[in-house]
Amino acid sequence: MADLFDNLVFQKEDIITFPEGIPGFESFKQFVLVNVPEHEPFQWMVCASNRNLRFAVIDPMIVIPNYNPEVTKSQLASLNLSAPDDVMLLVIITLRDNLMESTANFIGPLFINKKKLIGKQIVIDTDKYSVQERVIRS
Amino acid sequence: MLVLTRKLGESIRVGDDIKITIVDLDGRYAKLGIEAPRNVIIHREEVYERIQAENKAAAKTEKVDLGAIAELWKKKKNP
Repeated sequence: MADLFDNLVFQKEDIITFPEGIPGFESFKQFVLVNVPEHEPFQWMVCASNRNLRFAVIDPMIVIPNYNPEVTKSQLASLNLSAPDDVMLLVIITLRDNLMESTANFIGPLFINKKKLIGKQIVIDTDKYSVQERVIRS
Repeated sequence: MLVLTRKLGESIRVGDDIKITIVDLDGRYAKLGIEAPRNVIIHREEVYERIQAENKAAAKTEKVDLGAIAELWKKKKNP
């Protein structure tokens, strides 16, 4: 069966490196963000070395506008940020059979340094949010 | 694994700057107070495991039609 990303073309400059990998997939460290117009506001984060490994992601502020994950300086250290504006924040979507029940992981947001293309999934140990926040909220 | 017995109110030191105190005991629950420098990352083991498990569930996208949920999303926002 043809896959959405069979013909995906990307440049070296598009690759975001996750030096520690993504928990559960620690050996995969390079991903590319892909926009499919029909899928907006969702995006795909596709593994550069294995296109079958990919995550649907979304800007968390679109789902929870006042989302404010608390992280420490040392959690952000590996991102090499020079300005706060360099951060792009994404959360990973888990799609359910009943799409209305799909959720996003708000205690494991992805922090990405947009300028240097370094990423990290940071664990926020808080009871304020959950690993399974409903994406489509009433 | 080093195993130490502590009473309520007693502490354990890890290195020079981390102190862990038993602040409350209630049946099978122990409440720990942790004093550590701000740059030390502390989280409950199961939180990390939950993130791993959720990532694995999220990666099962091969047969998924993201377009369908994008449609649902748009309908919700602009009914």
